[in-house]
Amino acid sequence: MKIKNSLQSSFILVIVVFSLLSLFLTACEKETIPEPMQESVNEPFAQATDAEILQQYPDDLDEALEELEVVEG
Amino acid sequence: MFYQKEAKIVVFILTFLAALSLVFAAGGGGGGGSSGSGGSSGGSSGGSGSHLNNLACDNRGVLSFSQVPQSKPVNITRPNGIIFTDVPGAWSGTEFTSEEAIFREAGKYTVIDMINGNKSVECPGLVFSCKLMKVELQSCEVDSEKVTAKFILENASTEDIKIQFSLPGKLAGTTRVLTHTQQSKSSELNTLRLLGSGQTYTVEVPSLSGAASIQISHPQCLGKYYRYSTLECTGKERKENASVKFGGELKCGGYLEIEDRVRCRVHLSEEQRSEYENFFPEECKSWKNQEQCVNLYRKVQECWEKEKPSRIACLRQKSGVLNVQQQKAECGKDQECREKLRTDTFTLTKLRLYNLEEEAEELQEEGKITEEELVNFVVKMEESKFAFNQAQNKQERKEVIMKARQYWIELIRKVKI
Repeated sequence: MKIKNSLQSSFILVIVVFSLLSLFLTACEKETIPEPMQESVNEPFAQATDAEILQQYPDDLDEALEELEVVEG
Repeated sequence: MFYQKEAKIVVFILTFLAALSLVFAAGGGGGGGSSGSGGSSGGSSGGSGSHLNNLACDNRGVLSFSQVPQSKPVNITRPNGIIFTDVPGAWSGTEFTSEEAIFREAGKYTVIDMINGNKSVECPGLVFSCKLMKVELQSCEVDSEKVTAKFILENASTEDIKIQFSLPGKLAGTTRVLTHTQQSKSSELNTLRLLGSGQTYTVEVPSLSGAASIQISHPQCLGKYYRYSTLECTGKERKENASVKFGGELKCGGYLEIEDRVRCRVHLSEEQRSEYENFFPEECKSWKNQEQCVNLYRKVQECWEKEKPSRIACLRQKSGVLNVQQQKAECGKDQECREKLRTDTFTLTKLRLYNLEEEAEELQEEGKITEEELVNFVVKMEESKFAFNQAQNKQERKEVIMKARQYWIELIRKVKI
């Protein structure tokens, strides 16, 4: 009975020590600041053709060329 | 019996641990230098979206934060406990940014907020501010052997300044600029020597002849407080005639290089951009009648507020080019009428290039391109307009337009989403 008691007491002690230790470690652990996520730089037009780009972002310079042709023709 | 006792111990330990973790958890969440305002118990937020955060303070003496609702005027407690009332600065939406050189001492500053609770931030102390720096050229003498210029520099290091000389270019009416900074220097300025200490300095360049003028500026202050000084370089006999010009009067237009003029304008606030000196369009520099050129650009200002299809229609209306084919037919054999239509069409073409600059600026405002990419593109468009004016025939003009198109395509390839 005595042996059983001392075994149980030791078991409780171990739990307490481990709990306190883990608590201590959690408290002391440096606050990990997440590294700024690598900004996912998406360049959707990097591989696009000239025509695709001009369709999405027209430069209106075709009109300029046509007008030039008329006044200087 | 024993198990009951043991269970009590375990429950006690668990309760103790839970209480302890709560204490730690509460302590961990209090970052950000918050110091609660007296009275309100933990009620740092006064309502939905109500906040005071993103407090920051830099070595230019600038303090900034985001606040909802805005508490105006802004009052901040200094490290010595004295309250600075009505802090000068500007609101942009919910963001407040103070003027430079306001928070000069290092220490803890507390933003007073009756609704969200006061918050504090640590300021590093003032290191450099464009607002405080001063540069003043006093003389620039040229002789057959060297160029010698004297200047006063306050609240800045000579290591950070930019020294430039303008010289006549190869083509009549053009100039070239030689630049010296700590990082890079034109080969013709390899022998440049900077002498002096305190606030008075002498810059000497042996073997540099023909310098027309000198300019000293601070690259960090482009578009901020116009901290630069320009002076004509003369022989000893004409020294008295040269008068120093300050950035304050020349604004963005006084910088020697187009990149600096463009970058300066990009840094300006919306209100500053409409000022005459800042507005002076690059292209007008090459016009004989500069006033006429400025008036044209002023006339089309309202077009930039419109959306794209109506923007081009607006430019057409302002330049008087509605339907070239029809207008040409109406001119018939009237040479004067045809010539006017031709000139107006050229104007419209250049306004189209200017429109691309505006669009690039919008892309930068949306965060799709960087400031560097914007500046490079605007410079290329301005150079294109200059080349268009210099072109001798239709073919050369067409080539300029096609090249401008390539610059636009190159820019769009860099667009980030």
